[in-house]
Amino acid sequence: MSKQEILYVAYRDEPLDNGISYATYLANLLGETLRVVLLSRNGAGKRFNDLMTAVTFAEANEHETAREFLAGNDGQDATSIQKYLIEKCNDEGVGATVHIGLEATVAVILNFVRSKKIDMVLLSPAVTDSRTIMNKLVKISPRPVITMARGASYAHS
Amino acid sequence: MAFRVLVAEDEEITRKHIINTLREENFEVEGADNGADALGLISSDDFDVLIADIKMPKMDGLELLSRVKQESPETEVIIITGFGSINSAVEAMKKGAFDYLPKPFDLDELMLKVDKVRDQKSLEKENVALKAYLNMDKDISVIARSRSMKKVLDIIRSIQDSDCTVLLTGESGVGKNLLAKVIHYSSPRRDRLFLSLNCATFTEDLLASELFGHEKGAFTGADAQKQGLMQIADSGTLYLDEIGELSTSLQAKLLKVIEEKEFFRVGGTKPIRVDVRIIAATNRNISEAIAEGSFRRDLYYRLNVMEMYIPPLRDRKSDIEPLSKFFLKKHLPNYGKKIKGLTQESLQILKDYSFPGNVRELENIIERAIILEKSPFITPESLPHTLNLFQIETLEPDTVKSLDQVNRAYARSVVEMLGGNKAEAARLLHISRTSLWRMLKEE
Repeated sequence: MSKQEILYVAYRDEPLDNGISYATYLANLLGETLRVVLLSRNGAGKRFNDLMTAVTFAEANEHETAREFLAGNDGQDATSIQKYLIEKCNDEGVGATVHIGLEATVAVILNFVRSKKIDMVLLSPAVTDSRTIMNKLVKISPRPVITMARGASYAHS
Repeated sequence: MAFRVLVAEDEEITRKHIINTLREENFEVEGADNGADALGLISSDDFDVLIADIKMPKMDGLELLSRVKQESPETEVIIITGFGSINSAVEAMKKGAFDYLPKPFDLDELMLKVDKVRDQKSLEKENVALKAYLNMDKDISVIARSRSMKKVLDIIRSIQDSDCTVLLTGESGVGKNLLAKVIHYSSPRRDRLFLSLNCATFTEDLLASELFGHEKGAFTGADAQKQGLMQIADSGTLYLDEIGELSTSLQAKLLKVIEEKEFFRVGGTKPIRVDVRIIAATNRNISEAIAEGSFRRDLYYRLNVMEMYIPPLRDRKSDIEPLSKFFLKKHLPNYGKKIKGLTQESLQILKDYSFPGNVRELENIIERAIILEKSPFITPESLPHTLNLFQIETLEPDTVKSLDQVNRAYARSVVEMLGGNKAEAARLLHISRTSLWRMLKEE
């Protein structure tokens, strides 16, 4: 038998670092592992999000990955993101499984909740912002759903 | 469990005489007329003490002693030395014998030695329980200012004289383990052992071995007989966390322990009787697991004689301040700092946070803040950075489901029960295949 898991759901094209940091913090705290699901979304905002992601990777000194985002090379970046996330989680002492490029539907998330030992579902800031998935998920998810809304709840002085 | 003695003696009259005397004193006794048979009995059964003659056919007492110490280290051995040989007595003691008795011996003398083993074993067990009790005394503090937690404590008080099984439910980190200890240490079993086991951290086979023990040779690597927690916790309490993760076969075994107070070791053929109070816990919705067929309804009814729901910390905000102060007091001595408390701002931030990791997370946040804080009060700067970046909210699953949701869940369980055969599921549900398809797709 394996440990319970936190299911972290994010969009593939959103900056991932802060969300993943919180996910690994929770996983460490509860002695659980992390299952990361990166959903694909198409349409308006994608190019902007690619740029933002490229900046994030560049800041983390992952210049090759940043270049791939700028070039719009989706096929190659999937492996890089996967490798990056797994390493980041492992550095934090958390075991992780990463699934990339899945369709952005509630059914995809629910399938993980039902087939794996998911303790809670953690929605990234972008997934929380989009509301559609969150609103549907909270009605039918058998596990608690944690949302991460952007915006400070307090400010450091 | 009765105190069990094995008498290995080739002289029939002496053997019978010892057996009868011990039985008169209410010991459970078996006999063997040679060393090999005695070893066979010890391999397949539990004995607290072995009384062995040093000179026996097939295997002598000293070899038997060595083998018993390898295979069943808990069994104490009293060696009967027949020839007044001090050398063999010394050798026996070196090999781990509890005591020796030179022939000819007085039966009263033998009884004294067996009583000594019994007293020592009982003392060892009590000592472990006492240590657990003393350790608990330092750690066990339930902080409850909220009405919901006070209610939980009221329920615990109301069952303190009872021996009923208890099912604790609630999210990860709410303190189910702590409350299980409170239940145990406020019960009549308080001076006996409290053992806990997380059912999710073992494979099924390992969990079976941990819970019920195994016989020598039961599986590859089972070099010696092993007592399971169920037996070690005899007359005490066994806390089983994440009970929802038990396989159906282990659920059946657990049900047998609760109903009939007996079980078999892995690879064993003899039932072992125990008197163990079970406290189980889960963070899952067991009713759903029952509906899906992954959890036995009869076991659920046995476990939830008393079901207690421990509310998440976000639903008992009034506990946050006293808990924070408690954790501050608990961890401060480890870091040699002089922190007087939390600033109002820090406290407000904590009260606004939803704590997905519940009380465990609050404790972690306070301990981390103690390490980082340089001023006499915990300021927001020492709180996790994430609290500054995001507004974290925990949304609980809707407890009241719509009829559509119930229908869909039922349809899904029927499809799963039929191994994915949707045509057959549609026929049983009296709906068309397209309706079933739509129903499952809507999820």
